[in-house]
Amino acid sequence: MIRSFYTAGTGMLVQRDRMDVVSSNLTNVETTAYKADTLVHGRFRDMLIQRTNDPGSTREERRVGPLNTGVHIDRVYTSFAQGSLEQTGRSLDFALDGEGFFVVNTPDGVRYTRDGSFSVSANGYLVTAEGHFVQGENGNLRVNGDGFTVDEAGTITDAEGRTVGTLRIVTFDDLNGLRKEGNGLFANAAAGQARQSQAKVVQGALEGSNVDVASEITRLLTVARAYQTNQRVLTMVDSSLQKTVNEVGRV
Amino acid sequence: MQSVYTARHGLIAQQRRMDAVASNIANVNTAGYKSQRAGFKDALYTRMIDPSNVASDANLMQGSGAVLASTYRDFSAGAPILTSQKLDFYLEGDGFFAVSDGERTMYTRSGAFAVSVQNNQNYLVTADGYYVLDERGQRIALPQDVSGLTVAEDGTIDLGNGSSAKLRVVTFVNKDGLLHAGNSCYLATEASGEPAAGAAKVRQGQLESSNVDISLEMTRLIRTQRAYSIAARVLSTWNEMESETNSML
Repeated sequence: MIRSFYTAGTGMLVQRDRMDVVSSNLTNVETTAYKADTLVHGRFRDMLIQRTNDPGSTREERRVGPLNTGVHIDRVYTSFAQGSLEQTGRSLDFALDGEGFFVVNTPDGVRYTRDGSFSVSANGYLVTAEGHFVQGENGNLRVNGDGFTVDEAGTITDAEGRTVGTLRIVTFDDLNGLRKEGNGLFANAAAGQARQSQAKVVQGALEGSNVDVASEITRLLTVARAYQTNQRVLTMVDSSLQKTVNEVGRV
Repeated sequence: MQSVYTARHGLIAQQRRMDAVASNIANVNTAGYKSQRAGFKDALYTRMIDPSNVASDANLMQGSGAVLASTYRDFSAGAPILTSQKLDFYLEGDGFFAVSDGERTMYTRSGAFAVSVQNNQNYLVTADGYYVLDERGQRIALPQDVSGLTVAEDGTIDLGNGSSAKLRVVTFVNKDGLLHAGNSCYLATEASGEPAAGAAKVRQGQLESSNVDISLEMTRLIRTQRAYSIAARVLSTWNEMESETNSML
């Protein structure tokens, strides 16, 4: 009975973590190129329960059976499904159609993003909203203002028709090896070598969040109810124990 | 649970966006107004278990909501409105008029100018009384009678009394870096870069309308409202769960 305290406890803990992930998705329904997270939970290994004091029985006969002791969080799975493209008409907005990432140079090293709401720095370089340099095939891109066009392959042509450079668009063999860092940036933790992506660049558009509000709200309700259920189990075990402590001895 | 703060971030971010939408809708008829758009990014991530052990392989990064990363102004041109007023100017193409409030130089696309009389001298000013500057950064003195005033495409004003002045028309490498100073005027910042000569053509007798797209703003209004109520829903669910926790005691 004491075990069920902890089993119900782990259930509650996991639901709290799920709640955190679901609420992060739900507050990012309007975030550019946000990728929805799902918390995957696993169960603890089954334990074999065995009677310890049963004289005369064999080892096999003393076995009661397996017992599960609850759940734990396993990992976060990020869905890299394409978000819908939204036309903005701003020449510094870019969306990627297909699997791929823009490459950004930050003080912490190279990072990857699908959020293409860029700006131009005072020196004329293409930068993110935080001022990190957007990388082309040959390093930083100097575009000198917003009067340029970008084709599907990412080739940047300025107002006079000269080629300025090409946006570097990469992808990875294992996208689950990417880690979110906030500000729409991903770090490569275990995704393998970056390779050229076939994603198409769309100028004047942004990628929307890929959060499916209906299923997230459903999940929100499920989480709240599952939490409640685990709490009920816990209080029931508690009241049984209370009976054991206070009433059984009274006979 | 992080979610109460996550929900709070979401509510704040949507509130800020509502401010931008409200400002756009309020300025649907303001000459030279440029619509603004709020851009969101996801907030910081932390490891759910053992924050110090970042080397571990499994992905356990948990977000903390959304933040307003920046507001972008759409500097695309508004449609010209024919007013036939001698002192109304429209910039066709990329550029800003340079104006001064006596201390700071500001930049505007709103060309609804007027005459201001000071010490028996007429000056060309904006609707808010800021001096319009010429090529050398000086105020533009006007004759008593402005009926003969004409402006060429390149911004040269023929004052009608034989003399002329040239309007200062500039542009910036990073218009997102301009600081909005109110009254449709912008200040140059370190981020916007130094003003450079603009290529815009000056048209007389026309004004630039606001570039707010009202149907787009209404869509944004609805989306903002929905996103706000979703974040509020997260908050109330959190509250429900924590009251369950509380009732265990």
